[in-house]
Amino acid sequence: MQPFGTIRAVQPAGEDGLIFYTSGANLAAQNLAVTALHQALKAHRPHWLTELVPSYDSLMLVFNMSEVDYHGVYQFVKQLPVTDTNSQTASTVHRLPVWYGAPEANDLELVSNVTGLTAAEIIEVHQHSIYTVFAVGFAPGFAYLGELDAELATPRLANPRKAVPKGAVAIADRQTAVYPDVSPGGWHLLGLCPVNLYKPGAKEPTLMQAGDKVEFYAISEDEYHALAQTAGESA
Amino acid sequence: MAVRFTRIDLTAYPVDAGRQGQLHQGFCQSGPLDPYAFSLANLLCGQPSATTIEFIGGLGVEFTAPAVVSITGPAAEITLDNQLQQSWQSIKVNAGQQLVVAPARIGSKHYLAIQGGFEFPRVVGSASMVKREQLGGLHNDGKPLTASDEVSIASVTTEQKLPGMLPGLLIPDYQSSVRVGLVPGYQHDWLTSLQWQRLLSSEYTITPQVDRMGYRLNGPAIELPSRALYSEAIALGAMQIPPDGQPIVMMADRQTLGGYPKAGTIARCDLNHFAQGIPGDKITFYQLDANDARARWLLQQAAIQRWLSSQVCGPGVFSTRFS
Repeated sequence: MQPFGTIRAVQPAGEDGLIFYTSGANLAAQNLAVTALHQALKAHRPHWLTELVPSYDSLMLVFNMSEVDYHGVYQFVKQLPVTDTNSQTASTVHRLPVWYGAPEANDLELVSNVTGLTAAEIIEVHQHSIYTVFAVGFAPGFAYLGELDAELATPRLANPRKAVPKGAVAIADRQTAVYPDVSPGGWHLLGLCPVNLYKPGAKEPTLMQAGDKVEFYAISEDEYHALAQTAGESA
Repeated sequence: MAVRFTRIDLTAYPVDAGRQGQLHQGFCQSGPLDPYAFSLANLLCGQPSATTIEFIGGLGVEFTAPAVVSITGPAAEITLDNQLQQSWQSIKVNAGQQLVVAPARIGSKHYLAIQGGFEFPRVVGSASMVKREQLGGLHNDGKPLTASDEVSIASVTTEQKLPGMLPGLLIPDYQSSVRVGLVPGYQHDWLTSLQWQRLLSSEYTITPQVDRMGYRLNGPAIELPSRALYSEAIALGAMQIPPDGQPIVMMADRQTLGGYPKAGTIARCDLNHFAQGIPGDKITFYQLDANDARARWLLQQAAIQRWLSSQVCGPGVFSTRFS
Protein backbone atom coordinates (compact mmCIF):
# COMPACT_ATOMS: atom_id res chain seq x y z
CA MET A 1 0.00 0.00 0.00
CA GLN A 2 1.55 3.24 -1.23
CA PRO A 3 1.78 6.43 0.83
CA PHE A 4 -0.43 9.34 -0.27
CA GLY A 5 -1.09 12.93 0.85
CA THR A 6 -0.11 13.29 4.50
CA ILE A 7 0.04 9.49 4.92
CA ARG A 8 3.64 8.28 5.01
CA ALA A 9 2.85 4.56 5.47
CA VAL A 10 -0.08 2.14 5.68
CA GLN A 11 0.14 -1.32 7.29
CA PRO A 12 -2.34 -4.08 8.09
CA ALA A 13 -3.43 -4.18 11.75
CA GLY A 14 -4.97 -7.62 11.46
CA GLU A 15 -7.10 -8.78 8.53
CA ASP A 16 -9.85 -6.39 9.64
CA GLY A 17 -7.74 -3.32 10.32
CA LEU A 18 -5.35 -0.83 8.74
CA ILE A 19 -3.05 1.60 10.51
CA PHE A 20 -2.24 4.89 8.79
CA TYR A 21 0.96 6.73 9.78
CA THR A 22 1.13 10.48 9.13
CA SER A 23 3.97 12.70 8.01
CA GLY A 24 4.78 16.22 9.15
CA ALA A 25 7.63 18.55 10.09
CA ASN A 26 7.26 17.70 13.79
CA LEU A 27 5.04 15.69 16.13
CA ALA A 28 2.48 18.50 16.38
CA ALA A 29 2.10 18.57 12.58
CA GLN A 30 1.90 14.78 12.38
CA ASN A 31 -0.76 14.74 15.07
CA LEU A 32 -2.71 17.48 13.26
CA ALA A 33 -2.75 15.24 10.19
CA VAL A 34 -4.10 12.37 12.33
CA THR A 35 -6.88 14.64 13.62
CA ALA A 36 -7.74 15.78 10.07
CA LEU A 37 -8.03 12.18 8.81
CA HIS A 38 -9.98 11.19 11.93
CA GLN A 39 -12.45 14.06 11.41
CA ALA A 40 -12.88 13.24 7.72
CA LEU A 41 -13.61 9.57 8.50
CA LYS A 42 -16.07 10.53 11.25
CA ALA A 43 -17.84 12.90 8.85
CA HIS A 44 -18.14 10.26 6.09
CA ARG A 45 -18.53 7.27 8.44
CA PRO A 46 -18.82 4.37 5.98
CA HIS A 47 -21.18 1.54 7.04
CA TRP A 48 -18.34 -0.99 7.38
CA LEU A 49 -16.39 1.13 9.86
CA THR A 50 -16.30 -0.32 13.41
CA GLU A 51 -13.42 1.44 15.22
CA LEU A 52 -11.23 4.51 14.76
CA VAL A 53 -8.32 4.81 17.19
CA PRO A 54 -6.16 7.92 16.77
CA SER A 55 -2.80 8.27 18.50
CA TYR A 56 0.31 10.47 18.24
CA ASP A 57 1.22 9.89 14.59
CA SER A 58 -1.15 7.09 13.61
CA LEU A 59 -4.79 6.20 13.16
CA MET A 60 -6.05 2.60 13.31
CA LEU A 61 -9.20 1.85 11.40
CA VAL A 62 -11.12 -1.41 12.02
CA PHE A 63 -13.70 -2.62 9.52
CA ASN A 64 -16.37 -5.31 9.24
CA MET A 65 -14.73 -8.07 7.19
CA SER A 66 -18.05 -9.32 5.79
CA GLU A 67 -18.61 -6.01 4.04
CA VAL A 68 -15.25 -4.89 2.73
CA ASP A 69 -11.60 -5.94 2.44
CA TYR A 70 -8.53 -3.85 3.11
CA HIS A 71 -8.08 -2.89 -0.54
CA GLY A 72 -11.53 -1.33 -0.50
CA VAL A 73 -10.78 0.46 2.75
CA TYR A 74 -7.45 1.76 1.45
CA GLN A 75 -9.08 3.10 -1.74
CA PHE A 76 -11.86 4.73 0.28
CA VAL A 77 -9.41 6.51 2.58
CA LYS A 78 -7.18 7.54 -0.32
CA GLN A 79 -10.00 9.34 -2.15
CA LEU A 80 -11.48 10.81 1.04
CA PRO A 81 -11.55 14.63 0.99
CA VAL A 82 -9.46 15.67 4.00
CA THR A 83 -9.79 19.27 5.13
CA ASP A 84 -6.57 21.27 5.27
CA THR A 85 -5.37 20.84 8.83
CA ASN A 86 -4.27 24.48 9.14
CA SER A 87 -7.80 25.74 8.62
CA GLN A 88 -9.15 23.83 11.59
CA THR A 89 -10.21 26.27 14.28
CA ALA A 90 -13.05 24.49 16.04
CA SER A 91 -11.07 22.46 18.62
CA THR A 92 -12.75 22.05 22.00
CA VAL A 93 -10.71 23.80 24.72
CA HIS A 94 -10.71 22.47 28.29
CA ARG A 95 -9.50 24.79 31.09
CA LEU A 96 -8.43 22.58 33.99
CA PRO A 97 -7.81 23.95 37.52
CA VAL A 98 -4.85 22.50 39.43
CA TRP A 99 -3.97 22.65 43.11
CA TYR A 100 -0.21 22.55 42.53
CA GLY A 101 1.81 20.96 45.31
CA ALA A 102 -1.13 19.10 46.87
CA PRO A 103 0.48 16.79 49.46
CA GLU A 104 -0.96 13.57 47.90
CA ALA A 105 0.57 14.44 44.52
CA ASN A 106 3.75 16.40 45.05
CA ASP A 107 6.97 15.50 43.24
CA LEU A 108 7.93 19.17 42.78
CA GLU A 109 11.20 18.64 44.63
CA LEU A 110 12.15 15.67 42.44
CA VAL A 111 11.27 17.63 39.30
CA SER A 112 13.28 20.54 40.66
CA ASN A 113 16.31 18.28 41.06
CA VAL A 114 16.01 17.07 37.45
CA THR A 115 15.19 20.37 35.76
CA GLY A 116 17.00 22.88 37.96
CA LEU A 117 13.83 25.00 38.14
CA THR A 118 12.28 26.16 41.41
CA ALA A 119 8.84 24.86 42.40
CA ALA A 120 7.32 28.24 41.48
CA GLU A 121 8.99 28.14 38.04
CA ILE A 122 7.79 24.57 37.40
CA ILE A 123 4.20 25.60 38.21
CA GLU A 124 4.55 28.69 36.02
CA VAL A 125 5.98 26.79 33.03
CA HIS A 126 3.38 24.03 33.26
CA GLN A 127 0.56 26.61 32.97
CA HIS A 128 2.26 28.45 30.18
CA SER A 129 1.46 26.14 27.23
CA ILE A 130 -1.75 25.26 25.42
CA TYR A 131 -1.60 21.49 25.07
CA THR A 132 -3.08 19.22 22.43
CA VAL A 133 -4.67 15.85 23.27
CA PHE A 134 -2.37 13.64 21.17
CA ALA A 135 -4.07 10.39 22.21
CA VAL A 136 -6.54 8.90 24.68
CA GLY A 137 -5.63 5.49 26.03
CA PHE A 138 -3.77 3.48 28.68
CA ALA A 139 -6.93 3.68 30.82
CA PRO A 140 -10.42 5.08 30.17
CA GLY A 141 -10.21 8.85 29.72
CA PHE A 142 -6.42 9.08 30.12
CA ALA A 143 -5.37 11.87 27.72
CA TYR A 144 -1.77 12.23 26.60
CA LEU A 145 -1.14 15.99 26.32
CA GLY A 146 1.74 17.55 24.45
CA GLU A 147 4.05 19.05 24.10
CA LEU A 148 5.42 19.98 27.48
CA ASP A 149 8.01 22.76 27.48
CA ALA A 150 11.44 21.16 26.95
CA GLU A 151 12.58 22.83 30.20
CA LEU A 152 10.19 20.56 32.13
CA ALA A 153 11.05 17.29 30.37
CA THR A 154 11.60 14.61 33.01
CA PRO A 155 12.21 10.87 32.83
CA ARG A 156 9.76 8.43 34.43
CA LEU A 157 10.14 7.46 38.09
CA ALA A 158 12.64 4.66 38.75
CA ASN A 159 9.99 2.97 40.92
CA PRO A 160 6.47 3.51 39.56
CA ARG A 161 3.77 4.16 42.15
CA LYS A 162 1.25 1.38 42.76
CA ALA A 163 -1.54 3.91 43.25
CA VAL A 164 -1.50 7.41 41.79
CA PRO A 165 -4.46 9.40 43.21
CA LYS A 166 -7.43 10.27 41.05
CA GLY A 167 -6.99 13.69 39.45
CA ALA A 168 -3.19 13.70 39.78
CA VAL A 169 -1.56 16.07 37.27
CA ALA A 170 1.59 14.42 35.99
CA ILE A 171 4.49 14.92 33.61
CA ALA A 172 6.86 12.54 31.75
CA ASP A 173 9.24 13.30 28.88
CA ARG A 174 7.54 16.11 26.96
CA GLN A 175 4.03 15.03 27.95
CA THR A 176 1.58 15.88 30.67
CA ALA A 177 -1.66 14.22 31.77
CA VAL A 178 -4.33 14.03 34.46
CA TYR A 179 -5.01 10.56 35.93
CA PRO A 180 -8.79 10.04 35.51
CA ASP A 181 -8.88 7.48 38.31
CA VAL A 182 -6.64 5.78 40.84
CA SER A 183 -4.10 3.75 38.90
CA PRO A 184 -0.49 2.63 38.92
CA GLY A 185 1.80 5.16 37.29
CA GLY A 186 5.40 6.19 36.75
CA TRP A 187 5.05 9.89 35.98
CA HIS A 188 6.13 12.77 38.25
CA LEU A 189 3.19 14.47 39.97
CA LEU A 190 2.67 18.22 40.19
CA GLY A 191 -0.71 18.52 41.89
CA LEU A 192 -4.40 17.61 41.84
CA CYS A 193 -7.21 18.53 39.45
CA PRO A 194 -10.78 18.38 40.86
CA VAL A 195 -12.52 17.95 37.48
CA ASN A 196 -14.10 14.56 36.75
CA LEU A 197 -12.50 13.31 33.52
CA TYR A 198 -14.25 9.99 33.51
CA LYS A 199 -17.87 9.05 34.25
CA PRO A 200 -18.38 5.37 33.36
CA GLY A 201 -22.19 5.56 33.26
CA ALA A 202 -22.48 8.75 31.19
CA LYS A 203 -23.37 8.96 27.51
CA GLU A 204 -20.00 10.64 26.86
CA PRO A 205 -17.98 8.82 29.51
CA THR A 206 -14.71 10.67 28.91
CA LEU A 207 -14.21 14.43 28.90
CA MET A 208 -11.23 14.76 26.57
CA GLN A 209 -11.01 13.55 22.96
CA ALA A 210 -7.99 13.35 20.68
CA GLY A 211 -7.47 16.73 19.00
CA ASP A 212 -8.91 18.77 21.89
CA LYS A 213 -6.89 21.59 23.50
CA VAL A 214 -6.12 21.85 27.22
CA GLU A 215 -4.97 24.71 29.44
CA PHE A 216 -4.09 24.46 33.14
CA TYR A 217 -4.52 27.20 35.76
CA ALA A 218 -3.52 27.29 39.43
CA ILE A 219 -6.08 27.24 42.24
CA SER A 220 -5.73 27.30 46.04
CA GLU A 221 -6.35 24.39 48.39
CA ASP A 222 -9.72 25.90 49.43
CA GLU A 223 -10.81 26.34 45.83
CA TYR A 224 -9.76 22.75 45.13
CA HIS A 225 -11.92 21.37 47.96
CA ALA A 226 -14.91 23.47 46.90
CA LEU A 227 -14.61 22.32 43.26
CA ALA A 228 -13.97 18.70 44.28
CA GLN A 229 -17.18 18.74 46.32
CA THR A 230 -19.19 20.11 43.38
CA ALA A 231 -17.64 17.52 41.04
CA GLY A 232 -18.44 14.75 43.54
CA GLU A 233 -22.09 15.81 43.68
CA SER A 234 -22.49 15.90 39.91
CA ALA A 235 -20.74 12.54 39.37
CA MET B 1 -36.24 -16.64 36.25
CA ALA B 2 -32.76 -16.92 37.72
CA VAL B 3 -29.92 -19.36 38.03
CA ARG B 4 -27.79 -19.91 41.10
CA PHE B 5 -24.10 -20.69 40.89
CA THR B 6 -23.48 -23.55 43.32
CA ARG B 7 -19.81 -24.11 42.57
CA ILE B 8 -17.04 -21.99 41.00
CA ASP B 9 -13.69 -23.78 41.25
CA LEU B 10 -11.50 -21.08 39.68
CA THR B 11 -13.28 -18.18 38.03
CA ALA B 12 -16.48 -17.29 36.18
CA TYR B 13 -17.64 -13.92 34.88
CA PRO B 14 -19.95 -12.45 32.22
CA VAL B 15 -18.88 -11.79 28.65
CA ASP B 16 -20.86 -10.56 25.67
CA ALA B 17 -19.59 -9.51 22.23
CA GLY B 18 -17.61 -6.72 23.95
CA ARG B 19 -17.59 -2.97 23.57
CA GLN B 20 -17.93 -1.45 20.15
CA GLY B 21 -16.69 1.99 19.10
CA GLN B 22 -15.17 2.78 22.54
CA LEU B 23 -11.46 2.15 21.98
CA HIS B 24 -10.76 5.81 21.20
CA GLN B 25 -11.89 6.75 24.73
CA GLY B 26 -9.41 4.33 26.27
CA PHE B 27 -11.95 1.59 27.07
CA CYS B 28 -10.57 -1.83 26.15
CA GLN B 29 -12.49 -4.03 23.72
CA SER B 30 -13.30 -6.78 26.27
CA GLY B 31 -15.51 -9.71 25.27
CA PRO B 32 -14.75 -13.44 24.99
CA LEU B 33 -11.21 -14.81 24.78
CA ASP B 34 -12.47 -17.56 22.46
CA PRO B 35 -14.93 -15.67 20.24
CA TYR B 36 -15.82 -18.78 18.22
CA ALA B 37 -16.88 -20.85 21.25
CA PHE B 38 -18.77 -17.82 22.61
CA SER B 39 -20.63 -17.32 19.36
CA LEU B 40 -21.54 -20.99 18.90
CA ALA B 41 -22.73 -21.27 22.52
CA ASN B 42 -25.21 -18.49 21.78
CA LEU B 43 -26.28 -19.83 18.38
CA LEU B 44 -27.04 -23.17 20.05
CA CYS B 45 -29.47 -21.26 22.29
CA GLY B 46 -31.09 -19.58 19.27
CA GLN B 47 -29.53 -16.11 19.68
CA PRO B 48 -26.59 -14.29 18.10
CA SER B 49 -24.61 -12.74 20.98
CA ALA B 50 -26.31 -12.63 24.37
CA THR B 51 -24.36 -12.38 27.61
CA THR B 52 -22.77 -15.72 28.55
CA ILE B 53 -20.56 -16.92 31.39
CA GLU B 54 -16.89 -17.45 30.53
CA PHE B 55 -15.35 -19.79 33.10
CA ILE B 56 -12.10 -21.55 33.91
CA GLY B 57 -12.21 -24.63 36.13
CA GLY B 58 -15.28 -26.48 37.39
CA LEU B 59 -18.72 -24.86 37.50
CA GLY B 60 -22.02 -25.86 39.11
CA VAL B 61 -25.35 -24.21 38.31
CA GLU B 62 -28.87 -24.71 39.67
CA PHE B 63 -31.98 -23.64 37.74
CA THR B 64 -35.18 -22.22 39.23
CA ALA B 65 -37.17 -22.65 36.02
CA PRO B 66 -36.95 -24.66 32.78
CA ALA B 67 -34.24 -23.37 30.47
CA VAL B 68 -32.20 -24.15 27.38
CA VAL B 69 -28.43 -23.94 27.81
CA SER B 70 -25.26 -24.90 25.97
CA ILE B 71 -21.64 -25.40 27.00
CA THR B 72 -18.80 -24.83 24.53
CA GLY B 73 -15.03 -24.85 24.77
CA PRO B 74 -12.43 -27.64 24.95
CA ALA B 75 -13.14 -31.08 26.43
CA ALA B 76 -15.18 -31.13 29.63
CA GLU B 77 -17.38 -33.60 31.47
CA ILE B 78 -20.89 -32.20 31.71
CA THR B 79 -23.60 -33.69 33.91
CA LEU B 80 -27.21 -32.67 34.48
CA ASP B 81 -28.43 -34.30 37.71
CA ASN B 82 -25.62 -36.84 37.21
CA GLN B 83 -26.71 -37.65 33.63
CA LEU B 84 -23.88 -37.15 31.12
CA GLN B 85 -24.43 -34.41 28.53
CA GLN B 86 -22.57 -33.33 25.40
CA SER B 87 -20.82 -30.04 24.92
CA TRP B 88 -21.52 -28.07 21.69
CA GLN B 89 -25.23 -28.88 21.70
CA SER B 90 -28.45 -27.44 23.13
CA ILE B 91 -29.37 -28.91 26.53
CA LYS B 92 -32.93 -28.69 27.88
CA VAL B 93 -33.03 -28.21 31.64
CA ASN B 94 -35.95 -28.61 34.07
CA ALA B 95 -36.58 -26.48 37.14
CA GLY B 96 -34.51 -27.63 40.12
CA GLN B 97 -31.91 -29.45 38.05
CA GLN B 98 -28.17 -29.17 38.71
CA LEU B 99 -25.67 -28.71 35.91
CA VAL B 100 -22.02 -29.46 36.63
CA VAL B 101 -19.12 -28.87 34.23
CA ALA B 102 -15.68 -30.36 34.91
CA PRO B 103 -13.11 -29.23 32.30
CA ALA B 104 -10.47 -31.79 31.29
CA ARG B 105 -7.64 -29.23 31.53
CA ILE B 106 -7.20 -26.44 34.06
CA GLY B 107 -6.90 -23.13 32.29
CA SER B 108 -9.12 -23.79 29.28
CA LYS B 109 -11.96 -21.31 28.76
CA HIS B 110 -15.55 -22.53 28.59
CA TYR B 111 -18.82 -20.79 27.83
CA LEU B 112 -22.21 -21.30 29.41
CA ALA B 113 -24.97 -19.75 27.33
CA ILE B 114 -28.64 -19.71 28.23
CA GLN B 115 -31.62 -18.98 26.04
CA GLY B 116 -32.52 -15.32 26.67
CA GLY B 117 -29.09 -14.50 28.05
CA PHE B 118 -27.77 -13.68 31.53
CA GLU B 119 -28.64 -10.25 32.89
CA PHE B 120 -25.71 -8.17 34.14
CA PRO B 121 -25.14 -4.42 34.45
CA ARG B 122 -24.07 -2.86 31.18
CA VAL B 123 -21.39 -0.20 31.05
CA VAL B 124 -20.12 1.56 27.91
CA GLY B 125 -22.44 -0.62 25.86
CA SER B 126 -21.36 -4.02 27.13
CA ALA B 127 -22.01 -6.47 29.98
CA SER B 128 -18.49 -7.91 29.80
CA MET B 129 -16.53 -7.83 33.04
CA VAL B 130 -13.20 -5.99 32.86
CA LYS B 131 -11.07 -6.57 35.95
CA ARG B 132 -8.42 -3.97 35.13
CA GLU B 133 -11.03 -1.21 34.71
CA GLN B 134 -13.11 -2.41 37.68
CA LEU B 135 -16.18 -2.41 35.46
CA GLY B 136 -18.87 -4.99 34.74
CA GLY B 137 -19.90 -8.06 36.73
CA LEU B 138 -22.84 -8.52 39.08
CA HIS B 139 -21.99 -5.42 41.16
CA ASN B 140 -20.32 -3.51 38.31
CA ASP B 141 -16.98 -3.56 40.15
CA GLY B 142 -15.00 -5.81 37.81
CA LYS B 143 -15.18 -8.75 40.22
CA PRO B 144 -16.01 -12.29 39.05
CA LEU B 145 -18.96 -14.33 40.28
CA THR B 146 -18.81 -16.14 43.60
CA ALA B 147 -20.55 -19.37 44.58
CA SER B 148 -24.18 -18.79 45.68
CA ASP B 149 -24.53 -15.73 43.40
CA GLU B 150 -27.90 -15.63 41.65
CA VAL B 151 -28.17 -14.17 38.16
CA SER B 152 -31.42 -13.25 36.37
CA ILE B 153 -32.19 -14.53 32.90
CA ALA B 154 -33.73 -12.28 30.28
CA SER B 155 -37.09 -13.47 28.95
CA VAL B 156 -37.01 -15.45 25.72
CA THR B 157 -38.53 -13.99 22.60
CA THR B 158 -41.02 -16.22 20.77
CA GLU B 159 -39.04 -16.31 17.52
CA GLN B 160 -35.99 -17.85 19.24
CA LYS B 161 -36.00 -21.25 17.55
CA LEU B 162 -33.31 -23.74 18.40
CA PRO B 163 -31.01 -24.92 15.64
CA GLY B 164 -30.40 -28.63 15.08
CA MET B 165 -27.35 -30.72 15.93
CA LEU B 166 -24.07 -28.98 15.29
CA PRO B 167 -22.11 -30.84 12.59
CA GLY B 168 -18.79 -32.21 13.83
CA LEU B 169 -16.90 -30.07 11.32
CA LEU B 170 -17.96 -26.96 13.23
CA ILE B 171 -16.61 -28.24 16.55
CA PRO B 172 -12.99 -27.11 16.96
CA ASP B 173 -10.38 -29.78 17.54
CA TYR B 174 -8.47 -28.04 20.33
CA GLN B 175 -4.88 -29.29 20.77
CA SER B 176 -2.07 -28.54 23.22
CA SER B 177 0.24 -27.92 20.28
CA VAL B 178 -1.17 -25.33 17.91
CA ARG B 179 -0.18 -23.86 14.57
CA VAL B 180 -1.65 -20.40 14.13
CA GLY B 181 -1.70 -17.93 11.25
CA LEU B 182 0.28 -14.73 11.71
CA VAL B 183 -0.83 -11.78 9.56
CA PRO B 184 2.19 -9.54 8.85
CA GLY B 185 1.50 -5.92 9.76
CA TYR B 186 2.52 -2.94 11.86
CA GLN B 187 6.36 -3.02 12.20
CA HIS B 188 6.88 -6.43 10.52
CA ASP B 189 9.35 -4.78 8.15
CA TRP B 190 11.61 -4.07 11.15
CA LEU B 191 12.33 -7.80 11.18
CA THR B 192 15.01 -8.95 8.77
CA SER B 193 13.88 -11.82 6.56
CA LEU B 194 16.12 -14.05 8.69
CA GLN B 195 14.31 -12.93 11.88
CA TRP B 196 10.93 -13.45 10.24
CA GLN B 197 11.91 -16.98 9.10
CA ARG B 198 13.19 -17.69 12.59
CA LEU B 199 9.87 -16.60 14.09
CA LEU B 200 7.98 -18.86 11.67
CA SER B 201 10.22 -21.89 12.10
CA SER B 202 10.55 -21.81 15.92
CA GLU B 203 8.37 -23.26 18.61
CA TYR B 204 7.11 -20.93 21.34
CA THR B 205 5.78 -21.98 24.74
CA ILE B 206 2.93 -20.24 26.53
CA THR B 207 4.35 -18.98 29.86
CA PRO B 208 2.41 -18.76 33.15
CA GLN B 209 2.01 -15.03 32.41
CA VAL B 210 -1.36 -15.28 30.71
CA ASP B 211 -4.44 -13.26 31.50
CA ARG B 212 -7.30 -11.61 29.66
CA MET B 213 -4.97 -8.77 28.57
CA GLY B 214 -2.32 -10.86 26.89
CA TYR B 215 -0.36 -14.11 26.66
CA ARG B 216 3.39 -13.97 27.09
CA LEU B 217 5.33 -16.54 25.05
CA ASN B 218 8.82 -17.93 25.46
CA GLY B 219 11.13 -19.07 22.70
CA PRO B 220 13.96 -17.84 20.50
CA ALA B 221 14.20 -14.08 21.07
CA ILE B 222 13.21 -11.86 18.15
CA GLU B 223 15.79 -9.14 17.70
CA LEU B 224 14.57 -5.79 16.47
CA PRO B 225 16.45 -2.61 15.73
CA SER B 226 16.01 -0.06 18.50
CA ARG B 227 13.91 2.66 16.89
CA ALA B 228 11.60 5.30 18.31
CA LEU B 229 7.93 4.42 18.16
CA TYR B 230 5.05 6.50 19.42
CA SER B 231 2.29 4.62 21.23
CA GLU B 232 -0.29 3.39 18.75
CA ALA B 233 -3.53 1.39 18.67
CA ILE B 234 -3.19 -2.32 19.45
CA ALA B 235 -5.38 -4.64 17.36
CA LEU B 236 -6.91 -7.86 18.73
CA GLY B 237 -4.28 -10.61 18.57
CA ALA B 238 -1.38 -8.21 17.93
CA MET B 239 2.05 -9.75 18.63
CA GLN B 240 4.15 -7.24 20.57
CA ILE B 241 7.91 -7.64 20.74
CA PRO B 242 9.25 -6.03 23.94
CA PRO B 243 13.00 -5.36 24.34
CA ASP B 244 13.67 -8.92 25.63
CA GLY B 245 12.45 -10.29 22.26
CA GLN B 246 9.83 -12.61 23.78
CA PRO B 247 6.44 -12.10 22.08
CA ILE B 248 3.30 -11.01 23.93
CA VAL B 249 0.02 -11.64 22.11
CA MET B 250 -2.58 -9.04 23.02
CA MET B 251 -6.04 -10.38 23.84
CA ALA B 252 -9.58 -9.12 24.57
CA ASP B 253 -8.81 -6.92 27.62
CA ARG B 254 -5.58 -5.43 26.18
CA GLN B 255 -4.89 -1.75 26.72
CA THR B 256 -5.93 0.35 23.72
CA LEU B 257 -2.52 1.93 23.02
CA GLY B 258 1.03 0.68 23.38
CA GLY B 259 4.53 1.54 22.32
CA TYR B 260 6.16 -1.84 21.69
CA PRO B 261 6.78 -2.79 18.06
CA LYS B 262 4.44 -5.45 16.66
CA ALA B 263 5.32 -8.15 14.12
CA GLY B 264 1.73 -8.81 13.09
CA THR B 265 -1.51 -10.24 14.43
CA ILE B 266 -2.90 -13.72 15.03
CA ALA B 267 -5.35 -14.59 12.24
CA ARG B 268 -8.95 -14.44 13.46
CA CYS B 269 -9.70 -17.92 12.05
CA ASP B 270 -7.08 -19.38 14.44
CA LEU B 271 -7.53 -17.03 17.39
CA ASN B 272 -9.81 -19.45 19.26
CA HIS B 273 -7.20 -22.22 19.12
CA PHE B 274 -4.52 -19.84 20.37
CA ALA B 275 -6.80 -18.39 23.08
CA GLN B 276 -7.41 -21.88 24.49
CA GLY B 277 -3.69 -22.41 25.07
CA ILE B 278 -2.56 -22.83 28.66
CA PRO B 279 0.91 -22.46 30.19
CA GLY B 280 3.23 -25.08 28.73
CA ASP B 281 1.33 -25.45 25.44
CA LYS B 282 3.37 -25.15 22.24
CA ILE B 283 2.68 -22.58 19.53
CA THR B 284 4.10 -22.37 16.03
CA PHE B 285 3.23 -19.71 13.49
CA TYR B 286 2.68 -19.72 9.73
CA GLN B 287 2.43 -16.64 7.57
CA LEU B 288 -1.09 -15.80 6.45
CA ASP B 289 -1.53 -12.57 4.53
CA ALA B 290 -4.46 -10.31 5.39
CA ASN B 291 -6.44 -11.33 2.28
CA ASP B 292 -6.07 -15.05 2.95
CA ALA B 293 -6.86 -14.61 6.62
CA ARG B 294 -10.05 -12.74 5.71
CA ALA B 295 -11.00 -15.43 3.16
CA ARG B 296 -10.61 -18.17 5.78
CA TRP B 297 -12.68 -16.22 8.26
CA LEU B 298 -15.42 -15.74 5.64
CA LEU B 299 -15.43 -19.48 4.87
CA GLN B 300 -15.81 -20.21 8.58
CA GLN B 301 -18.75 -17.78 8.71
CA ALA B 302 -20.33 -19.33 5.63
CA ALA B 303 -20.14 -22.81 7.16
CA ILE B 304 -21.94 -21.55 10.26
CA GLN B 305 -24.61 -19.89 8.12
CA ARG B 306 -25.14 -23.10 6.13
CA TRP B 307 -25.75 -25.02 9.35
CA LEU B 308 -28.17 -22.37 10.61
CA SER B 309 -30.12 -22.02 7.37
CA SER B 310 -30.38 -25.78 6.90
CA GLN B 311 -31.99 -26.16 10.32
CA VAL B 312 -33.91 -23.00 11.10
CA CYS B 313 -37.25 -22.49 9.40
CA GLY B 314 -37.76 -19.13 7.74
CA PRO B 315 -35.21 -16.35 7.44
CA GLY B 316 -33.56 -17.14 10.75
CA VAL B 317 -30.11 -15.98 9.80
CA PHE B 318 -27.98 -14.42 12.49
CA SER B 319 -25.01 -12.22 12.09
CA THR B 320 -22.05 -13.73 13.88
CA ARG B 321 -19.74 -10.81 14.03
CA PHE B 322 -17.39 -12.29 16.59
CA SER B 323 -16.83 -15.87 15.59
